[in-house]
Amino acid sequence: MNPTAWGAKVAVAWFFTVWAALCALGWWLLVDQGFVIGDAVSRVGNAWATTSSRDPHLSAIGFVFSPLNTISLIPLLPLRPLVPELVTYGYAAVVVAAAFMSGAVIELFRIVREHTRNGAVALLAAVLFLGNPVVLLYGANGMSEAAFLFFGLRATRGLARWARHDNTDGLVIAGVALAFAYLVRYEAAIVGAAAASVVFATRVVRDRRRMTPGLNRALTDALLVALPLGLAFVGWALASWLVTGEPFVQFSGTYGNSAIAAAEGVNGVGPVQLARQTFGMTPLLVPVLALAAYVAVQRPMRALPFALVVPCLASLAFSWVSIHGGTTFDFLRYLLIAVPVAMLAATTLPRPAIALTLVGVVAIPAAWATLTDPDLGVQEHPVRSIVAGHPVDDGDAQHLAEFHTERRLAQYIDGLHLPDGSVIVDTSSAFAVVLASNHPKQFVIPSDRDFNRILDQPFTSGVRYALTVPAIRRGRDDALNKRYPGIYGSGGEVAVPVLAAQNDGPDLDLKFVRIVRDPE
Amino acid sequence: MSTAAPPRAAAVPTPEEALAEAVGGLRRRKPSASAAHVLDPWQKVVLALLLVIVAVGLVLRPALVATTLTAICTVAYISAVGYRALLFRAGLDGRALTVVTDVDARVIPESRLPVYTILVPAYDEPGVVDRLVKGLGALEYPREKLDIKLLLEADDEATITAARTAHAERLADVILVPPSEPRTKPKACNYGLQFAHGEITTIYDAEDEPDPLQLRRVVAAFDRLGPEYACIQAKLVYHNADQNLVTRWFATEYGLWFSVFLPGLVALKAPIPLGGTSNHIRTDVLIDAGAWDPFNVTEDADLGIRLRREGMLTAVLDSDTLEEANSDAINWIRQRSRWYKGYLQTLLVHLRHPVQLVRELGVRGTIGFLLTVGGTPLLAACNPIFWILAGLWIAGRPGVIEALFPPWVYYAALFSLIVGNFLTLYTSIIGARLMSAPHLLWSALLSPLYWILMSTAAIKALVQLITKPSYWEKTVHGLDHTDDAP
Repeated sequence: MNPTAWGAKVAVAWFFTVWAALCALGWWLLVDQGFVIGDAVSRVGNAWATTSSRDPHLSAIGFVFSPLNTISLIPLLPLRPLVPELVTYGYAAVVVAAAFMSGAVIELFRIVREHTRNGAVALLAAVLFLGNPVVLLYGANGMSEAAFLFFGLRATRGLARWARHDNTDGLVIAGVALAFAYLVRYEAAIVGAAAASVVFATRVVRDRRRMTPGLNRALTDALLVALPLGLAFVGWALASWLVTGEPFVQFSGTYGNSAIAAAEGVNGVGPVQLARQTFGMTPLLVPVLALAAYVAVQRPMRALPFALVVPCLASLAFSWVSIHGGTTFDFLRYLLIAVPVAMLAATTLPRPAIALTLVGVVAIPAAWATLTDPDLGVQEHPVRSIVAGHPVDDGDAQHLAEFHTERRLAQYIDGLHLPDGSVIVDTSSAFAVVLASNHPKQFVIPSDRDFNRILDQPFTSGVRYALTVPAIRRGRDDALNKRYPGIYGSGGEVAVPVLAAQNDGPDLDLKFVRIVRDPE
Repeated sequence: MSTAAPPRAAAVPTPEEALAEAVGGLRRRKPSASAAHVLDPWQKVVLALLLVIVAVGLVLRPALVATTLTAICTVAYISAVGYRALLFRAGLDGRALTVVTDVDARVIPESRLPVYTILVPAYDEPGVVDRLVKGLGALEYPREKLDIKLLLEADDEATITAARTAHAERLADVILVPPSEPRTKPKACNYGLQFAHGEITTIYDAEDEPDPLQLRRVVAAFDRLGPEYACIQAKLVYHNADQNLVTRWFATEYGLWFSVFLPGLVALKAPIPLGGTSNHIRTDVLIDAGAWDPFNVTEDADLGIRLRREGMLTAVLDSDTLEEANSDAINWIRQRSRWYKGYLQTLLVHLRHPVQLVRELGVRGTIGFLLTVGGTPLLAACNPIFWILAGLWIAGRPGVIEALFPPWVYYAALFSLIVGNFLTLYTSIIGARLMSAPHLLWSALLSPLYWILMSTAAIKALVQLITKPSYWEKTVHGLDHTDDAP
């Protein structure tokens, strides 16, 4: 068998091994121990709505958040009869994220191997990367960071190839990866801009030495990197506009990130906190970046270290700015990209094996300490209770009970054996109930195209019940609360309370109410 | 490569025999491979049935029929675009391109070089005979092993006179092809082939300027690749790329075709539609396969498929032949409509026995064949339909569109329009980079407009396929203003 075919088989074997391991870890964390991060489950909810709601249609994936994460879940949904937890617990997100993280590990391996021409060093880097507790966690909890890392690293690999050989396919690989990255997280636009700038600047500098006039070459190369992302940007905005009438819902919509952040009372964190979180995950980040910059200036192939480090570093910088400015939450995972950035910077140093070992090994206990610190690992610290075997405090106990109440509520509602379209609910708050139900078509949800009409005249539309949340935090933007103020407390003008469910988990309490009349 | 003379018919044929063979040889021996008739009886029946169904359907249930047709077009379009992307990926890294270095080309001793037949068909081209002599004279190959046949139509006084004036007979055998229908290049080549005695045969157009080492590179490549490779296609490159916008588009397209798409087809094990010239074929294989189809206006593409069906492989060689790009839009449309018509002819001919086709090409090969030979004219023709749909929609969300098309068809069509046009633009920029011609970036950015030309040609091709299938629309050469007038 020739080397390339053999290498491909080895890569495939590694991919499936890591994927399986992460899936197993994810099952244990999610289904056994109850540790869940809500966004992953909410995406499964959106995907589920496209196939199994009472009005199934593709645009139910929603236009607030990037589409790729949700769409990649859809092929797994038909497996619900075999593995109900795929939907009821949102485990489908874990399976998909695990695949992406496995891919990310392989991309890192390839980057290091192509740079150092040493498979052992590359394997070391890959193992240390995967062994970092935050990487393991985010490979196993279904969040979109895994996909973002994968495409970000793939784009970096393409750029490195271009910087090294000046060949076209490196640019194309990077360009396509960036386009997909945009469909995973909008921040990819920053990465793309950074990548295109590096390419443009490098070309201009190189051409000046060659005395070739004009900027055409630099423009060509930069465009090859940036255009696919441009297409993704325009295409997604166009799709959003066609369906919702708004091209940039993620910025303007009431369910958009800024709105949610504002509603939850986020107003920025100081640089010390950010530093503790970032360097907590990979303490040697600054030293290794400084060294890498120093080395880069000395060496002839200057573009290569820039190509390797700058794009992902730009994403990190953008996260710093957004979190500091209060436009988004201070979640540890927004800084996750610091881990591969440190490793990429270490790869560019003259003794990469030593650098990578230092960076990787030091990061592992540091990341664990950061993860389990409630101030730093805002969403992640409940793992300490899992490892300890019992809840360390009430906060953790509450986190690990997330969605228990919603699942029990779903069982209760299913037990009423209601016909289709009898329960109206805004899934931005109560998606976990719809997911856990065996009869999803009984719910009327915002992605149903007749939702607003039914919301205005629930009783005549056949709706008999509603699921409500208090008008606090994100419940303030709940569609039912906005249309019928007070519906949670006393039923508002259209309903009477039936069942109140105090949420064992950290999410909002829920109240099941009966619709008794239409509004005046 | 043996240096023994290839087995040959003992007697040289008379002009009448040669003509009969040239015109009717393929049709006689392999009637189902000949485009002399466009459709087999069963194809006629199927086509008629389809037309009837569509016509009746349009009257009874216009919405359903329109939707179905659009859906079919969309699926075909997406498949063709998707396949192009695959080809691109397969061919971009250059692995499937055969490279023979100058050193390897020159190291072959003259005694080991085989006799090489070069067919040069020319019709009504008195102005380019000079350049022919120059171009072929530059070939680094022993003169006595070159078997050059200048093929002129016997009634083409102007060119014959020009040839005599340029002393073409010092370089080539001037063969006068008796005037007869169909008046096509492949017929002339078939005629000349019968007087040829080289082990390898190739075709050059009168105005071509091949890389001087091309023949030697081919010999080395055949040696290296082995007997299962019967054909080697060199790269055609336009020397007048910068003349105007049309030439820029055309040159970029050609650059992509020969540097990326053809190698991509090689990598994906699909059959290779050959280019118009610089395809080097082992003569015995060529004759066995039936040589060229005089009734097919892209006889080269057809031959490429036929060779593959006979189990012979084609490689793409990193060696350039300079040609002149059409600089006039009208002339360009004429040439391109001939190409599309020929592709459609080729498609219909090879689909005559579909089961046999799949057996001979394999599943991958058949898909590749359908999506390149069929997909190329199809993409060109469908684009305007999608543009019109999109335009209608933007012009105010007409209820007609929404009533006629279920959303998924409509959105799929819109999506394919955007992606298809984007891919053209993006691959053109890649082409500019691959050709080390960064100034072609600007024409690349305008490439969706190029599609307008292609669509016009496609529609013209469809019409001509029905009205005069074997009519060879002559391309006017010598428009590149770089000739010194004789």
